[in-house]
Amino acid sequence: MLLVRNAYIIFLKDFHLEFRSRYALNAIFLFAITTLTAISFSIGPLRLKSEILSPLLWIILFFSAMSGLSHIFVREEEQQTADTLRLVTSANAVFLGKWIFNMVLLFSLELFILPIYLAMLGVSVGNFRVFLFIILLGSFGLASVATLIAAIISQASAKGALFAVLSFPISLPLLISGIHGTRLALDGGTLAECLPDLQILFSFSIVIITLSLLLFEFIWRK
Amino acid sequence: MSDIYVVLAVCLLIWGGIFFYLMHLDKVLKKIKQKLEFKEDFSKSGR
Amino acid sequence: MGLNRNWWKYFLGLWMLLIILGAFLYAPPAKGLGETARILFFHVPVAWLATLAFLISALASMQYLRRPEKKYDIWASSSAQIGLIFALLATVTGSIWAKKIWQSYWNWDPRETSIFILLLIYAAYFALRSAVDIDEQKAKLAAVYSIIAFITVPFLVIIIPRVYESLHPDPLINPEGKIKMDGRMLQIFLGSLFGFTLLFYWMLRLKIDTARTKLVVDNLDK
Repeated sequence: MLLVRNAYIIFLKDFHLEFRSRYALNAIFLFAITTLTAISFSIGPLRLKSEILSPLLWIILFFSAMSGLSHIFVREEEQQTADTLRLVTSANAVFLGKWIFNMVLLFSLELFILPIYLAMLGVSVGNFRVFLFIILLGSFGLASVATLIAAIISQASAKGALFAVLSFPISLPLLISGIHGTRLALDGGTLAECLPDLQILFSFSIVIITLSLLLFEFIWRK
Repeated sequence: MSDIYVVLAVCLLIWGGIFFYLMHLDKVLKKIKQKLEFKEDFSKSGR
Repeated sequence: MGLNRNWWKYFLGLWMLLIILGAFLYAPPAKGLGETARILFFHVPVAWLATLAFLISALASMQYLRRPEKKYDIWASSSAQIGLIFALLATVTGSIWAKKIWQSYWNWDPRETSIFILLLIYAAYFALRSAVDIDEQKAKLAAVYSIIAFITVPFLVIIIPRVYESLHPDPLINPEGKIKMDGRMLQIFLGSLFGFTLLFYWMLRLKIDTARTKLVVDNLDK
């Protein structure tokens, strides 16, 4: 229980810090808005099919995540607060705290961007519940992958470029089944039809989190 | 049917290239190793 | 020793010469695929050895995390580097053959997709290695990344065939577990596999030796 309490404290600390600078928040929200507007501008009044709408959504989500989610670890290294954190609490508490923070960040982005996406591109969702479910599980996995990779790249140089390069192959299972599932849901697929995609999203996320808790110790300790 | 001989010749050429390149690398590495051993002996005796 | 210690290298040189001659002159053309199918004597062993190389690299990475010794890192990075070369060769040979038989160099067949992702992963692996300055940290982070990537690959193997359809022939072992090759083809194929394995061993040893020597030279300056 100490682990959960410490993780919660780390989360609160990052939450307050974030609201003081709003660095990651600005980056991720503005990036999503910019991309979405660019897409909306370029297609004009055209109505797109679900085969294109669903990858577009995931491209926006993935690259928005890549623009902001690494900040959580990079900041600790840049402001040289990482060593203090290493002394104060266990590695897994740090990971859990930052993972929850990234998840909250990504979910709040979606809360904001999804209605705009649906409105701007004139999307009609066939099965809204399944659609939400897939987005939710997909971003759950995406936040997990991003947090783990962020921990790795925070100790390297050229952090920004490296983050997307390293995250992309690892999040491919999420992206492929997320895109596939979203397309089905947009066309009105039932829960049973989307179940394989949901299963993959869920099991992959669980595997990544387990792996993170096993490996984070190695990344974090110097 | 002569096409196949062209492909065959290209393959043989590539293999020859790889083989002699690796042999060359082997030789260079061996030389460097010998030099290093000599240098280490030298620095030890110099001390 | 009476024999030259390098005798097996000369043997390999001759062996591959015979295999290449055999592949074009001795083996009969494959049924249904024609003369172009002769590429399988080179394409398939190269692809298998790329997999083997990445497997060795992942195992060495795990070993490095258990016991951080320099030699495991050298094993991991050397094997990954040679694996990358072999994977590139498999991609190029496969793509050339695809042009001949499917009329396009690239069409995201599941096999093409998975090897492309492998290339991406290991390219990212080397991007990470080049971005970390301290040797121990580089080895540690690269090992962690390699393990994460290694866990991701089986997921892709499950997911990709679900979304994309395959045209790739399995010339060696078909679903019924029968070997579909003509006797003479099989001889050449196994001979070629043996030759390529020996070549891989030679390249790996060279690479590891070079890395070790480089280490000695670097220490000399200090």
